[in-house]
Amino acid sequence: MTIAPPTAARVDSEVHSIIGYDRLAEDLDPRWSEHVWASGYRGPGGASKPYPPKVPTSVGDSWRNEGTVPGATIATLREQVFDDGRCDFAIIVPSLAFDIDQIWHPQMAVAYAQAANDWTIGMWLDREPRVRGSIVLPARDVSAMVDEIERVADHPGFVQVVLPVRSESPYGSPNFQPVLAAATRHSLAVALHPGGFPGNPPTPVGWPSYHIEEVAGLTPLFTTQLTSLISNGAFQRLPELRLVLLETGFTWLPPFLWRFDQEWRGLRREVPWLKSPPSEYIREHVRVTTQPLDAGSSEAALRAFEWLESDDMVLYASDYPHGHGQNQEVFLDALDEDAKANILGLNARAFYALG
Amino acid sequence: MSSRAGALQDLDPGSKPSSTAVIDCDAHNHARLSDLLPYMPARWRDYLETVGLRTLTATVAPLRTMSSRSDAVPPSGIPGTDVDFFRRQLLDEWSLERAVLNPTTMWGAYVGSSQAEALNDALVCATNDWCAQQWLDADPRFVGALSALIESPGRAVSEIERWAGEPRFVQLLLPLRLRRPLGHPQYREVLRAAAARDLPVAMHPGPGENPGHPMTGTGWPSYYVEVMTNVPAGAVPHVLSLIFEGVFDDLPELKIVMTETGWSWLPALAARADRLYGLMPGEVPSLKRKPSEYIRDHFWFTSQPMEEPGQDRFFAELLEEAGIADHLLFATDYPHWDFDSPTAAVPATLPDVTRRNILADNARRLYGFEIIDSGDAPR
Repeated sequence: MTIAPPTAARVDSEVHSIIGYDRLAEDLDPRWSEHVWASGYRGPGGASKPYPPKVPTSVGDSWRNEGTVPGATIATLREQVFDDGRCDFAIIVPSLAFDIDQIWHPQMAVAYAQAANDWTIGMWLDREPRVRGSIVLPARDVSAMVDEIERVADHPGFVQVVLPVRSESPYGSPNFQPVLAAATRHSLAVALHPGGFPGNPPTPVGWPSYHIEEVAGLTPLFTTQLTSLISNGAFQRLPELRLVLLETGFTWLPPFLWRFDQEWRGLRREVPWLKSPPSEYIREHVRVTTQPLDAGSSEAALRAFEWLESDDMVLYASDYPHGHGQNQEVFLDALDEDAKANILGLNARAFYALG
Repeated sequence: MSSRAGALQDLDPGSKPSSTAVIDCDAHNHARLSDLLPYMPARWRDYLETVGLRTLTATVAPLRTMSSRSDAVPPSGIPGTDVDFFRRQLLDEWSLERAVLNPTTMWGAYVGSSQAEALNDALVCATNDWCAQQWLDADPRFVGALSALIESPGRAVSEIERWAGEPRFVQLLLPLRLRRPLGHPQYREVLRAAAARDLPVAMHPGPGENPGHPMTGTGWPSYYVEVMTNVPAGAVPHVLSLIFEGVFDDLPELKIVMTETGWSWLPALAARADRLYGLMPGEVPSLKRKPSEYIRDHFWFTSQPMEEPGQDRFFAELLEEAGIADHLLFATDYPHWDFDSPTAAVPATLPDVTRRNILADNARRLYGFEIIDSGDAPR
């Protein structure tokens, strides 16, 4: 059912499929749908819901449409993502991945993850050859995460697993090693996306008061995960491991690479398995996306891109249907032709081995 | 010897004479517990004698004691404890005009959440007495940071008031790892007391009283190199909280000095905060300006560890994007292992006026330092 994108295709590396917990409950095994019905469970709420439905970061203005949920059906996706010619190919990331770790009942979390992945296969991958999928994992139970990878990884439409960026311990710590190994064994990339509600606060200094404060402060969660994976030697143990950081842009990355290399030079005796500066591992194994473009101007974005000193690391992404209040086309048009072609499609083709 | 810091509108770059002098805005003196005991009430001296400290390990161990330079160990054995050794190795060797002493090591080591609040307060207050009598009295080139028990705001305000007549304490010093982001209303009275005295509020990496939260938003790191790389991640939540809680609208004279946190992350963060504010200003309707404007006016940054971009020319670009050439304060971080040299750390490619601002003039304007004419040839 899958096809390779044409050579000049624009690949959108982050498009969300949206499914509500109540809708998914219908697909659960009866043992669990009865439990959900009896307990009245409607999915996570409050602060554990990283995308409150009415804020612009959850649905951008251009995609907000009375009576329909963007990303809920393949028809909406075709209309809003493909039909205007904006992109030719898309990597689908199910919304359930951002908050499934809020289900503390271990067996029920597995049931929801299975239902979500079966929904991705049946409703998306088997119906639309222009999309590739992401596997949702029951993020609290490492052995269940591995089992779910083994259950669905053979479907050719899946190209990655997706984990919430917030976690109880960082993903480089040894207990997550089996998950990284299972993904790598099946040639799946590992994607980190904003979200997760592990119980520990999203900052080292407790809970932010406001949604805007929390969202503005998301970047450090990606830097601590990245530092953990590199320092623990994840890429030495799994030379084929590929990591993509979604919905966090790229302008923060050059200064982070500079500081990481600088600290590594001083402290490298502590992590002797790192044979070259951290930035070299990151350039080889890690990708970031264009959305959101956190720069004060297109000129500032171009400058940050130059600081990155790499045409290979950035993947074009719309982050549909999330809204970020900016137009990345000005930045894309200002790039030289080679860099633009890489960002718009070639980097994603290589990273996801799209053929 | 030191006038109080100027009002924000008076901090115009170039408004004071400049020289090639060097002011170090982050050096660390260290009190052994035995140094603090003479300044503590008998009740707590007795308590420490019988029960001892009950602090928790709240950090990841550095590679050596006090994470110090190996040549900064004085004959007495512990870096940062010997005034004469410190003075010779830092002030004299580098002909520093001044050094701001930030005593950070009692956090976590002596002061912690699992102890009586009054004991923690006694330790913090003793640190101030020790710093004033053993260090500030010893050399006019030393100025100090005032410590306060920020998690107990009433006690912190009392300590600020106790030192109201002491101009040699030039800033209030807080550890980065608080229980809440600094803009939270629970800390407001402390910030108000500091602003009322024109005391800049410095934040420095450190465990504080051990807030009970993991060291990062994604749990506990494994290695010290992770801790050091992610110091900025500890500063970001405070910057955002101070802005979005409206602290600078409430306290327009408040000045924040981010110490040892780097600043290369500012352009992306400021752009991100501005973009989100443009998207959803309604959640924080009391804000009067864009987030980046509060950052520009209210935050200062110390230089160590000096940013080292991938190419030399990126440094000037980065400084321009960050917009802090007049808010960057030189620091050595003596006696720590990652000491920055006053003669080598500031890139030689910068214009002279920018170098002079970073090395001394920005600090003079922020802290209201007068120029010391020691008769020595300035460096």
